[in-house]
Amino acid sequence: MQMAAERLSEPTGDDRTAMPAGKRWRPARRTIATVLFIAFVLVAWQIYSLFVPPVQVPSPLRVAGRFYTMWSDPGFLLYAGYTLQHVLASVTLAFSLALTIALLVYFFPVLDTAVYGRLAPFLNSFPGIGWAFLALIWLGINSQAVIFSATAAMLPLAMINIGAGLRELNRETIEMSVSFSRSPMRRIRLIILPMLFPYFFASLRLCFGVSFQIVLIVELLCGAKGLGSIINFARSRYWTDMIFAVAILILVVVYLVDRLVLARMQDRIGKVYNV
Amino acid sequence: MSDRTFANALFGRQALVANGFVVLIIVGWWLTSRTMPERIFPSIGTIAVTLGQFAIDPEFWLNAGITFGRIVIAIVAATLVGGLIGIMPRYVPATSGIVDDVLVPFFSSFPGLAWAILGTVWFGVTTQAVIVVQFFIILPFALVNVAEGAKAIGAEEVEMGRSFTRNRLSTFWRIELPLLSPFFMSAITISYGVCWKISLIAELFGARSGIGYMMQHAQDLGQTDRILALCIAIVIFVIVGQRIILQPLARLIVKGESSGTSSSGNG
Repeated sequence: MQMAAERLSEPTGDDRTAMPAGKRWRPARRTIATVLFIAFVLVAWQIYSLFVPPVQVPSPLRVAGRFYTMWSDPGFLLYAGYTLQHVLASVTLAFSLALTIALLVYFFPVLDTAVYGRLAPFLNSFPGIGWAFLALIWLGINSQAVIFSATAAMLPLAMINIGAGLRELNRETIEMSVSFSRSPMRRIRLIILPMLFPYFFASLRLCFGVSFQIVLIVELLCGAKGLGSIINFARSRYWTDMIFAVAILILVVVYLVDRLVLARMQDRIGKVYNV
Repeated sequence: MSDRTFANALFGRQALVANGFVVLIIVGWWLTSRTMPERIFPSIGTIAVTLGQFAIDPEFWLNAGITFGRIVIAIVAATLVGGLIGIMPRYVPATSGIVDDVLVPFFSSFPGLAWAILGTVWFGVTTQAVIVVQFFIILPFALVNVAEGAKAIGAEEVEMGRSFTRNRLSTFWRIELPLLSPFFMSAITISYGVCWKISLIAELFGARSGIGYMMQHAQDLGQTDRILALCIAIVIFVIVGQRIILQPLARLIVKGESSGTSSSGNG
């Protein structure tokens, strides 16, 4: 009842737009400034590209042309698919491992210093390139090497975030759940995981952005199939417009997935569980 | 530290488990290394010897110093530029869309690898290329932290400052900047850790010196012990830098800010 009342009292999208007439100019001015800024950057880029060779700075039109030809080609799309596959596999693995470790520490607090005082700081400072080189030596040139090194690089991020979430859990709710059931699995599924969702999604969004960065580097260094190897190919031929086209695709994918999928899921699940 | 706290830190249950965990990892590594070729999985002893050789090798310290110098320049530049852009919406509200909807998503999502390659295309294999790449990769950390800080700092303190003086520069210098300093410090702390790791990417493509160059050389020769020793050296540099430089600096800033707040409160 209270939740329903709170939801009713929250301003809806329509309420937000129905502002007093004097206040209406604010969002419009912000939007105009943003559009003008983007237009200014594109024009400045176009003018600058007239004075330097395309190897250094290709014009926006040239990049747009390359973007269209590349991403309408099934061969290039297949490589983008490999990268997405690497990202999804490494994020899933890093999350599953981090959640398992964080829950272990939660139920056996004696492990706290071992995990958050020794393992997490070490892994967090260990360079991703180091993992890439080691994966290349240990696993060879293949997808496993990419997934291994990206997972190892993301694990501390996910571990620290989920650990922080577990530490912030409402003790009273947990105590109440213990009085209802002694089964740890039921408590995890029905109480702990729903309460963890805000932290879970915050780290998922962070990891999704970071994972693209790591996966690209590892693909390039390991020579595995993916966008990293396309960047390497473009680098060896000085096709700078191709590098821009790959970077723009990643920008678009990360932005769209973050804002349209993860942020909305986080919002919806948050509303369902009132967190 | 009292005797009891010291004993707890050494022999408390958690400390014993933590130290046992480290021993377990070392033993596990040693056992694995016995079953595999030294070139693929070097023993702990070999890695320790390589690390020891680094400690007395002037060439290593020269390369580490070069990398450290580049990191410091990149952090200072990124913090200044990111800070300036981040606080802009506070004074020109119309620019909030440019910062929040364009610059932050752009710099946060633009692949570091693309910056690394574009850096070498634009500046060649030079120190400038490495610094520019590092600058662009860590810029979002300063930008996001300061932009969020600028939204969060109290309007009441600034309002109070304006009742004392109409000089906006003085209000900024004496009130807003101290209130923003923890956010700047947070950006610097994150950037320092990230920069040591990403400097390798920048140096891999755009330099003939630095730790990244050393690592690439070790990779070309298949020297796994050197790769691992360099990674451990980076872990040490990150942890020592954070404990010796950044944490005392953060404490100093927080202390200065709280004393400033209390004195202004008393006044």
